[in-house]
This record gives sequence, structure tokens and C-alpha cells, in this order.
Amino acid sequence: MGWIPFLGIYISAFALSGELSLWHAVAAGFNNVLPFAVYGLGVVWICSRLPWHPNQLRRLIGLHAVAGISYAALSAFSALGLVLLMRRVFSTSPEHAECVACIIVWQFFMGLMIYTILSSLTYAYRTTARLREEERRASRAEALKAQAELQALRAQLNPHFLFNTLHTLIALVRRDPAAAEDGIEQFADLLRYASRVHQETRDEVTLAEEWEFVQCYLALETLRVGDRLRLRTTLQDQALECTVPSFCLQPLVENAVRHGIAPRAGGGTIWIGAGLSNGELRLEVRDDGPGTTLASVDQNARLGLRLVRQRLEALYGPRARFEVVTAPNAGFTVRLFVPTERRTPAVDASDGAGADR
Amino acid sequence: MVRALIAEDEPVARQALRELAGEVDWLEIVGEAEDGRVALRLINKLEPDLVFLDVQMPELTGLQVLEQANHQPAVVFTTAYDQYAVAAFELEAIDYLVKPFGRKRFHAMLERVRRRLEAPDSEEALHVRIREALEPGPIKRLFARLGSTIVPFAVASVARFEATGSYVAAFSDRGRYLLNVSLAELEARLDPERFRRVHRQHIINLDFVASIEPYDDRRVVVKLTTGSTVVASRAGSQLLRGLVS
Repeated sequence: MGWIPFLGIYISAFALSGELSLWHAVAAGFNNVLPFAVYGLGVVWICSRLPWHPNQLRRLIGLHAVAGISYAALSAFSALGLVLLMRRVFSTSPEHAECVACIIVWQFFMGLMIYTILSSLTYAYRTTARLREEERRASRAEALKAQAELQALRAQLNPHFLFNTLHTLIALVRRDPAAAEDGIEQFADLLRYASRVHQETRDEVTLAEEWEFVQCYLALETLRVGDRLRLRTTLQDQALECTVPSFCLQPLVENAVRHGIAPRAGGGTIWIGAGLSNGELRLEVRDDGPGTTLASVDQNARLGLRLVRQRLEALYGPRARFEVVTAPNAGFTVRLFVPTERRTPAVDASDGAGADR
Repeated sequence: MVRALIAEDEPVARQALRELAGEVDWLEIVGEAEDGRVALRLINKLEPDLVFLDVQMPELTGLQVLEQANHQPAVVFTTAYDQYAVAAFELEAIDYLVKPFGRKRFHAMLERVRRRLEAPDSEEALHVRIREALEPGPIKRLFARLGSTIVPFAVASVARFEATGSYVAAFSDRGRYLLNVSLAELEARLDPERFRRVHRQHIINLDFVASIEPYDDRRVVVKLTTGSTVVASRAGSQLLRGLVS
């Protein structure tokens, strides 16, 4: 459709020259414009095969020079061919025969100009489309990350835990000021970690950092529930050096405390393990609490666990795994497998998680 | 002497309650329970006058304990902040202490409890009120505190609610009552068919509307059968006009 004004220019030029009848002007216009249009598709194709690359500019210009000259020459000779064909068919007057050279020259330079315009337009269009697509993906990844952060903070600063802990600390102030001081320090460390990770919008921390945070959390929980909470930990030193998503371990431990320990008068035991094998970091949190059916885990996906699973998907895609093993009266085990080598860009990985919603 | 039982699962919090209660000369602690099941057994066995009852406990929650107990003592709930539960407790005028609480709040609460124990109200069993308070869906009754007494009144008898500071004033046919909740908390528990929020500060009962008239270009004024008028906000006016069409 874009060729119509161009066709119009040719036709009116021929018609206004007064040398051709209207019918002949239209035919001549088509002869001249048709090759440009048909070979123009080739230009668009070439541009899509030669994506714009600022650091390959010299090579690109060379290739386009060759392609442009070919396009112009091809169009010019095709136009000439069509003109000659027309003359044969309609037996036009021979006084235009000497114009063969001007047709070629005129069409050749016209072709060069059209090639430049066409390729520029194609690149401009493709760049805009790509920018728009990138923007869309970036904003989606950003939204997903912001959501995860907010959920992390919300899950982390579970008001029940906060207010109960403060209540214990108030009680300790009277009874055991030294223990209260320790507790308040740990409470501050906990808040500091949460706000720091949040402010720096860090996706990943070392397991050592996360573990320190979990220890603060556990110390405060122990302050509250006393000896009802028993702990067994086996964390390899090498594992502690690995990077993991922030807030990936604490929600698992909190889940164990809330569902495995808190409902039972006698309390229970929580096992926390971390180890390396086959280029993977394995994190495991297990409790000997009442457990549940797997179906009910899926249904009422506990916020903390769901969040961890979503973040693993967003950060590592299929390279990370999340396992739950549980049955009624058989405790509850969560295992995370996180790749230890560098992850793929977050934008690509977040697409998988986005599609999952 | 008032015989009191402490039901609290966290050892430090339990010990703190024991110490605070020990400072009160008219109170005698007759037992302590570290989980819901023990609390239930001790309430039935010791028949205390008063129970400090933690809402979240292992085995049985505080509410389950009250439902299952044969003996009905006066109760002060202790709970970590839970917006919904607190609003529910407040609307039903049930005594509670929000954690964290210290000495000052504890003694203020106990003063209230003492006055209440001296003038017992002849209301239906506490656990019925609590269950009603914690049930989702619209509430039928509200409780206002007038000194140490608790005055129940039907929600349907309230023509309008108006937020004043941190309180909400309820204008019922029997007078004006103050409720210690926010308008938003209250709105969440009212029947939406009957009550409409027409302004940041006002909720009106549609059953009491005498007329709705234009006030200016974009607002309407609601005249109630009680004689009072409420100018609706722009959004509220739009909502009210929507009722007509």
C-alpha cells in the first residue's frame, strides 16, 4: 500500500509530460514501480537477516552497499525489461527508444534511494518493536521481583512473631535484664537483615548470611517456647559459601516451628541441613510434627513455602528444585536444590515463572 | 479474694503474668496451664473466678477451651495483635490484653475487671458472645462500655455511625454510644445491604433514610428519620444515586 503514492508520482510525471496518453502513463508507472516493490520484500528480508549491531557497523555498511547496488541494478533492468515488453505488446511509437539509457540511469539512482529509505524504515520499525518488547519484559520481571520482596518482608515480619517476641522481651526486662539485652540485640539484627536485603533489593545472599539470620530467628523463638523447640543442625562449611536467594531458608524454618512445634504441648525437633553434591546446593528442613497430606500442602500452600518456590522458579527456572515430603503423623520435610554455578539472566528466568501463573 | 488461673504456653510470658498478678492484693493465682488441654482440665477442676487466657495455644485454642469448659469464669484474653480478632473483641466488649503488654496496661485492665466482677452483668454465656464475635459475616449486636457496665444494643437500631477521633459514635434509638474501634473495622462487620459508608466519617443505616436530596453539583444530603442530616462525600453521593437506578 505504501507504494501507491510513489506510483502516483510516476504516473503524474508521465502524464504531465504530455508525451503519453493517460493509459500509457499508468502502464509506464507500473513498469517502473513494480520492480521496486517486489524486490523491496527482499530488502526487508535482508535487513531482518542482518540485525543492527553497533560494533559491526563497518561490515553492515559493506553488506548493505552491495545489496543496495544489486537492488538498484536489478530494479532498473527489470523496469527496462517491462518497458521493452510493453513496447512490443502495445507497439508504442519508436521515438522513445533512445531513452533506454536514461531509464537505466534514472531507475538505478532511484533504486539506491529507495533501498536506503526501505532499510532505514525496516531498522527503525524493528528497533521500536524490540525496545517495546524489552520494556514489557523488564517491567514484568520488576513487578514479579517487587511482589516477591513484599511477600518476603510480609512473611518475614509476621506480626504474630513480632508481637509475641516483643512480649517476651518486655517480660525479660523485669526478670532477666541481661537476657533481655541479648534478645533485643538479636531482634535488631533480624530487623536489620530484613530491611537491608529489602533496601538493597538483593535477590541473593550467601547461605552464611541467611543462616546467621535464621539463628537470630531461632534464638528468639527459643526464648518464647523454651525447651519445646529442639534443634539439630548439620551445615557444611562449603555450603555456607554458596549464594542462595534471600529469605529462602527462614520461611522453611518458620513453617516447621509454626506447624511442627507450636501446636504440640511437648514441642518437637527440627533438623536443618545444607550440603553440596553434583554442582547443587541441597537445603533441608525437617520436623517431627504432625505432618499433613501432600494434597493439603498444595491446596493451602503455606505463604512462606509458596514464596520460596516462586522465587526459586524466578531466579533459576528449571535448574532449581523444591520438594516436600510429608504424611499425616510422619513429620514434614522441605528440600531445596539450588544450582551453585552462575544463574541465567533474571529476565529470561522470570518468563517461566510468569507463564506459570 | 478473686481466684485466678493463668493459661499461657510461653514460659517467659507465663512467669511474667504470675509476677504481675502477684502484685495485685485481691488476686490469688490458683493454677497455671501451659497448653489448652491443661487449661480446660484446670478450669473444670479448680473453677476459678477469672482466667487469663491466651488465644493461641497448643492442643486447644483459648476459644475452644471456653466452649468446652463446664465452668464459665470471667475471662481476660491475651493475644498477639490480630486485626480481625481485636476488632471482634472490641465490638463485643470482651476484656483482652494485646501483646506486648507491660505492667501499666495489665493493671489498668485488672481495674476494669475488678469493677466488672463487683457488678456482674446478667448476659448470656461469654463463649456465646465470643463465638458470635469471631464468626465471619455481619454482627447483630454491639456492646458499649459505660464505666464498668456493658450495654448491648441491636445493630439494626442504629441510624448512623460517626467517626470521632479514635472512637466511633453509634446513634441508636436509645441514645449515643461510643465504640473503641475504627470506622473501617466496624464497616467490615456490618450488613452491607443495610449500612452504607457515605463519607470518610459516616456510615448510615438505609432503613432510617427519610430522603436524599441534592446538596450541590456533585453531592447529596441524606435526611434521616431521626432528624439528623449527613452530607455525603462525592463518592458516597455517587453510590447513593446508584441505589435509585
